[in-house]
Amino acid sequence: MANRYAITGQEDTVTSSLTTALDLIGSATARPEVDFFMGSAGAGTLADQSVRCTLARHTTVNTLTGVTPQPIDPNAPAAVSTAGENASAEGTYTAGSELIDQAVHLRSQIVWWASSEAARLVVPATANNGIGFRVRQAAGAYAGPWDYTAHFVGP
Amino acid sequence: MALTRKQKQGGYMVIRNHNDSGKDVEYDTFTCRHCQKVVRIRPMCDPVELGGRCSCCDGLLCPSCASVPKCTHIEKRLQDTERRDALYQAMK
Repeated sequence: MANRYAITGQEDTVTSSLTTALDLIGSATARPEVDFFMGSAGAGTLADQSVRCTLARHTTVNTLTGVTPQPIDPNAPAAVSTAGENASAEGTYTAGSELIDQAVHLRSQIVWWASSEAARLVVPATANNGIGFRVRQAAGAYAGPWDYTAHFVGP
Repeated sequence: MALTRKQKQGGYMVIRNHNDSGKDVEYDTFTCRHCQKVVRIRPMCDPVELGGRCSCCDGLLCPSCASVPKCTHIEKRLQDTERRDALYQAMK
């Protein structure tokens, strides 16, 4: 049975442009599959504003702070897939390739999970390709943090 | 592709305290078999708005993929990406 891992990431400062708060990156030997994620505002000053949460595929790597996937089962081996957070430079995202695109109020929380294997979001086994969990301002000019947590299945 | 026939593509989305109203909003979702876009199922909506079904791979499709008269199963797309990268790496 494939192992499950958790990754968390934070975008320190939400802006009017899409920025990558959390990124799951494949490799030539790893094809991870996202089956859960949730997003919420971090410890910022919450106001009557909203952000837009977008999951999209990228084909070149973002410049990120490294995140180590944590196995859900403590006895599982270290993940082959890699992850990162709080991108300082964005990679190449395919236009119109959003997998999930939803506006969320700062005082709300968005949660999604796949009920079956066929519903998981698959990252190709290609270096520098991955799924970015992105965020930008929607209604208002919130400039605080935004957090994502995701689970994936794979090596 | 035959391996994915009849595999359910369902998921679930919850937006807690939606719009700061104190109420949760919940949606059934499905993941498009071709592009893997997650489509929210709005209750009582016109089925045409949800997308369609691929007659080749028998998968549920998002509205964008439903308008394309060709089966581009996600597995095929992933393999194309991986092979292209493998060729590029071999040529470097």
